[in-house]
Amino acid sequence: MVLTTPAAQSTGKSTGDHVVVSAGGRTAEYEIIGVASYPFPFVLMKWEDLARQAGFVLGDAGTPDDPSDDPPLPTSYLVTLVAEDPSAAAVDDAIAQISETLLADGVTASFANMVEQQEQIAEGILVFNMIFQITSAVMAAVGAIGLLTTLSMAVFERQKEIGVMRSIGAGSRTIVVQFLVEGLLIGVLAWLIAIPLSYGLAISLLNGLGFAEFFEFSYPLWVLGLGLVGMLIIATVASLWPSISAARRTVSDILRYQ
Amino acid sequence: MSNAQSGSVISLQNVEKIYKTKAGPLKVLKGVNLEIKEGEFVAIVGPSGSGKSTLINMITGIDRPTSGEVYVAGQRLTKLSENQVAKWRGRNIGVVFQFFQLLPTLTVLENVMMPMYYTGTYRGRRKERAMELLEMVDLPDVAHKYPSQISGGQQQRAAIARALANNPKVLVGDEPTGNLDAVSAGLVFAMFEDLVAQGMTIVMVTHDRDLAGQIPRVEEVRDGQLVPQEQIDQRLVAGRG
Repeated sequence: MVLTTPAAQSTGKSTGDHVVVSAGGRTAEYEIIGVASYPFPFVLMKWEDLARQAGFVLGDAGTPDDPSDDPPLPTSYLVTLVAEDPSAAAVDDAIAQISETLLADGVTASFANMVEQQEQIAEGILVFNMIFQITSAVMAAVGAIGLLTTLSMAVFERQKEIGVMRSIGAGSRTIVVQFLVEGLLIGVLAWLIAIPLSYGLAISLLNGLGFAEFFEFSYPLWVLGLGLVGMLIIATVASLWPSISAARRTVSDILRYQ
Repeated sequence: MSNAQSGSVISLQNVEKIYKTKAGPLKVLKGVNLEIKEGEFVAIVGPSGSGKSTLINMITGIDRPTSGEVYVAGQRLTKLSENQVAKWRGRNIGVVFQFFQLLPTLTVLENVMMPMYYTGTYRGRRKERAMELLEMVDLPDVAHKYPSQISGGQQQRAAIARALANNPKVLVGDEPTGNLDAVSAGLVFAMFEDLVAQGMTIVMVTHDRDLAGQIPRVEEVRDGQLVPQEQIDQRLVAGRG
């Protein structure tokens, strides 16, 4: 028997341990031969063993004490379509055909369209993904506006300094570079502060939203690199206007309004 | 006539400056003609609002004339862009303000180094040059202090050292002693006299009639025009007339 990770964690079992399975009024002990990394809690075992233990066998049902010789009967079937990547509608059509055939023989059955289920799960994940993406975009935009405002105020408050710099020989490029560098430094500082915050937030969201069982937490380094590049672009764009605005101020304008 | 032709280091030719105000155009300078030769020490005096600061702003390139021409140190300023003027000023003009205007987040030494950094001069020996200048203005001991940690007189001397960083041809002061006590003002004035003795051209605006009285050449600005020498208001200049 193989347990998935959540099943092993919830039962406290590991490879080499034994578990007792009760089915059809009988009990049997199985050895755990491995633990599979999978988000859902269930066990994997030979269906024939379970079918025989539960009494789902073909033939002499009158000897339930020893069903080992009888061929096992499955209670459900996994039907795989020939098409490599069938659509949910194609699977529905196949289900309708199978159901019709079985009903003609007086057999009722319930069906599950696995492709449709996969699509629903994927859609759910996509929705969460989009929510997080939009949240990130809004936070980035708010950050950019904040940086723009901060630098614009810095330019306003430091007009005199800009005037002095200009009066002792500072060219436009020097002033643009100074304010751009300030903007980028603020951005880098924000990025550094965001690293532990985002790490903690990701773990909290994963646990808080109940995804910890389904997704393994990871925080790859390339995400940090991507964040740094994104931050540099946002900080540059947000700093550009205040920087150019600072460089366009003339000493006479500054002196006149001081 | 350019200043090269006239032999002047500063030449203002029929300079007019009109500011646009809500009340309408305000003519601050009305056809000013001024020639200053190399090594001259000139005081600009006049009542408040007469146009003194606008006049020296024309010399430094801080402001531009509405009409007329300004030549300083061989450069026709009216033809330069704001950016070009800033760089030219950094190399050719030393500016000393009434309120010192040292950058508060930099040390005195760093303040003196800034003009060299901005204009790309004295590469590799900026610190050495700045220390030489601080020694010249007798401030080597406060080189590593911030402006807020030294007195007003020391700040003004540091500002003079900064103004001299690129060895400019002309030093312009807008009331450089206006915010100093008598002793500090005397020290700064003595420093200016030394610089003139070494051949530097200095133009300074002053309200101090005693100082103005000690300056070899005085020009009075009245209502946007330069007053003929014989008509200079004696109340503005001590010991004349």
